Amino acid sequence: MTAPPDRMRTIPVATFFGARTGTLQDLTSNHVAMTGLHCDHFGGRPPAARFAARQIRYCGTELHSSVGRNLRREHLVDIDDLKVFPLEPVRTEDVISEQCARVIDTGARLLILGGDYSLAPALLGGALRAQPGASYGLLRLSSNMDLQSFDGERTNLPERRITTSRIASMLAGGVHDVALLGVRGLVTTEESNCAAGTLLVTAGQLRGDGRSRIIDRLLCWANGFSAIFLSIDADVLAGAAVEQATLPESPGLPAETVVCVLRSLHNLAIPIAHLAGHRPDFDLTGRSATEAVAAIGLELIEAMLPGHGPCR
Amino acid sequence: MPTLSILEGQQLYPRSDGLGGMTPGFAAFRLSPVESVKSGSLVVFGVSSNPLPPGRSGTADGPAALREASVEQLQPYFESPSGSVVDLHRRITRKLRSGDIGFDLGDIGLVETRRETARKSVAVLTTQILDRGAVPVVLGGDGLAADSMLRAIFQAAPETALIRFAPQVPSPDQTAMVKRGALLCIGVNGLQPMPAWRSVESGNHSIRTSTSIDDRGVETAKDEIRSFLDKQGATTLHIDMGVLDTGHAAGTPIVNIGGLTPEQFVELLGAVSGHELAGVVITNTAPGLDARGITEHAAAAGLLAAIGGHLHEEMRL
Repeated sequence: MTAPPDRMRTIPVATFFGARTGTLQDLTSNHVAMTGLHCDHFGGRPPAARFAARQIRYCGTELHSSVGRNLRREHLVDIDDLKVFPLEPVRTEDVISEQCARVIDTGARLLILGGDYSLAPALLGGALRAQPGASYGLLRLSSNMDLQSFDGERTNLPERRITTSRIASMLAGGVHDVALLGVRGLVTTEESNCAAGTLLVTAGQLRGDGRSRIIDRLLCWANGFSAIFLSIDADVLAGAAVEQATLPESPGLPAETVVCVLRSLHNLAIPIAHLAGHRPDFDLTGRSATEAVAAIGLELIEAMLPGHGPCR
Repeated sequence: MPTLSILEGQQLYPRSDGLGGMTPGFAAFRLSPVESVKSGSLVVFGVSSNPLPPGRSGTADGPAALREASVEQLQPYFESPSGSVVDLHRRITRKLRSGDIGFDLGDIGLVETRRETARKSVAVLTTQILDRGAVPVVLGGDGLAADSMLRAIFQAAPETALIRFAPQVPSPDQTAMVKRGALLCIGVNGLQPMPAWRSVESGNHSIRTSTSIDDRGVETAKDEIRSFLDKQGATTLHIDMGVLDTGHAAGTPIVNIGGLTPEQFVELLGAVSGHELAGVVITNTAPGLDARGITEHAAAAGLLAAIGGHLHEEMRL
């Protein structure tokens, strides 16, 4: 291959939060590897979350400069997007799982940005493959439980609606190893029954006065695991980041509340996290939602950075 | 396209989804001709009309968008094998009522070139529905749907009260329709024509502006709606989606700065649930002007909240 001309080498590239670009060879246990997931159409929502990685790269670079945070950028590596096969769901899950396993094998933490929640089992599958002895818990911030029944067979429901059930089936303690934060609105009675064993915190409870008690409960729950798979769906946010009106009986969370929850997680081991469901095409009033999501991404990085919670 | 009813030369037809199928009825109600309507049921029909120039067009797509959004809002019921859902915030279980609780007659189309005929059709259809002891629920369209439907209702039952969610106070003509009943205007905002304001204030009528709702809180406004309803018999509900703040929901021909938020809107409409309704009309949803879909989802959520007492039964957890 011919080397690129010098002019090309100096063109600035938008990376996640201004991180340097790198490959698997550059990763060590001192790094948070960030990757984009350009795939969202198995989840049953109109496609748009696939563009989140692109928008966060553009927006996050500026946000990082503008807020002037003392982010330890030497620990951050943008490893480009995960390879996907958009027309082949099973092959996509396999290849995503394989790629995640290879990143986590290096000892680096892995932060996946973009895409939708339906691919989360593949992400966790990779982490479990890389760390077979680890006991994982799923900590999810989303307005939905997505705990529709899953009996090992694909149902005719959108894949996203059974995704938490699929993840629970991969965890040692089943639904007891699942914490769902920020849930709101109407859920089916059957889903509600399935959630009986989970740590369930509604959006209303998180917005209320008892947040510190909830966080204590959450940390107590999380300390029972050697590693946490942290999944945040942008639909947990109020207003701009979601595609439909938030109803009065079910208002979402402000980004500040999500950031506050994430700040409390700094002492946990979070080898893998996924920030999903942000649909920048719907952020028409400007960049407010993307900035909110990017701010959450920055906080996620802080929670995952070495020194806060070594992988056990 | 299959015709559901022929009325005054107008065709009522369900809209195609563009894939050879039909869009579902509002709240998944059965698509039916008016002859099938049963007493006590909710009977939905749409009026695909755009405002006359210079009004911004797009409201002709309102009925279809409202139908789709309503089905989406009720999705948890349809996903549940038992047909029941849990409202996590209010700690209640809800189940859709069984039986023929609602029918969807389709849309009155071809309104652009035949507004007068469409106006008559709305009135005739409203009267037919009322004669069958059912509750008409009209999906606009622009204000044409509301004018004709309200005239038909007040002609049939002059004592009917009216709750109007709109940014403007009604014109003196519209106020005059509410002859013996009471009128409550919710969400009025911005400059109002003096004759219209005086005509409302001089009658047995009240106005709650969006600013006063903001200042005094939604709960106070809900109490006012309930206390208004307590003194009334059957009440008609007119919802003009222009009542929403444009920054929150842009899908309406009206620009309303300082209007109600979608949350306030849905909550206030929830206060109507359970009260006897003479009819409901919702106008000025222009989905093409709101790419995020907030407006039609708020409209559908508000409408479902208002007719919630007809739709589902509740049990405390």
